[in-house]
Amino acid sequence: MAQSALTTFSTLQPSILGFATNISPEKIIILTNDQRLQNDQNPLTTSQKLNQAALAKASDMFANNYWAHTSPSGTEPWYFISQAGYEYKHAGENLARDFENSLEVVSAWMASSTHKKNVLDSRFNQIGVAVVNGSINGQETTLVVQMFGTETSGQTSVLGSAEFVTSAYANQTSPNDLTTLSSFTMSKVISLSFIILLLITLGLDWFFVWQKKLVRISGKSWAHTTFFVAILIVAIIIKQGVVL
Amino acid sequence: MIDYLILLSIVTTYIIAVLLTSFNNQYVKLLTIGFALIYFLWGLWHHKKEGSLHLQIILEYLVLAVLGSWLIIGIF
Repeated sequence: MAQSALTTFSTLQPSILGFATNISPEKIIILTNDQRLQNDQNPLTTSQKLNQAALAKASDMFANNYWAHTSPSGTEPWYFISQAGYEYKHAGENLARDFENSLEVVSAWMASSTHKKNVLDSRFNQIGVAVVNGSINGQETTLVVQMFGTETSGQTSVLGSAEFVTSAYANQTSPNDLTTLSSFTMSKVISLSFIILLLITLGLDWFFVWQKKLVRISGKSWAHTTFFVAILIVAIIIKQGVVL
Repeated sequence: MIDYLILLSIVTTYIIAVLLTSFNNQYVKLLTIGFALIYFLWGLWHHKKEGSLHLQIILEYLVLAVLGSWLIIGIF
């Protein structure tokens, strides 16, 4: 029910190109290792197999139109890792979408206890990241898939959340093939302008009703003003992006 | 007076909840829909208490609640 309401609201908003401009796999890995070093953990080395697994996972999400660790058909992240030829002892996956830059992605993961656990897990020694543009449920977005692993032929275990692909069609992003316009920033400016205009209108309405001592059937202007001040504050503090 | 304090409490709770969950916009969207719904109900309760609940007022609170939530959800 709540999800349906959100979908309905989403379809009412104007569609703007939604690719991120400043996210790169290299930067994600550097920032991840910065976090590990700050928390007395060994830095992770980049694994081409995990990079391939991450790209396959992102491609599968676009191909099958889902945003989850496990695909609608039940494929788990570990399948992509195995398909890439990576024999893992431990493995983990973090996902993110709709962020504007690499720092925001890593910061959001660090703000979430489950994702932070993966980032700082001492059992991992390798990492792979894919940043891919595409469309999920008609909404253009930039997906970030972060795969962690420890390679061995011994006993395997999976940590956190993770998944596979048959044909990778989505594009790996590069710094020069992205739009510089952020849909989030643009939408935020439009919403903020509208909210401020509404607040000015409510303020003027309140003033003239009080000055002319008008009597009318209407709601309370001060209450509406309080409501829209809260909406204004939230519009200012909200950040783009979601992690999974 | 108690009505105003209740509204201020609702607003404060909403803003703090958004601050705590701002890393996930799905939570923010749901919180906003909840806040708008509560504001609408608060308006009905407040005017009913004052004996000034009319259809125009119900529609006014409904339109503003929908508009407010759309302005936040539309950002994402």
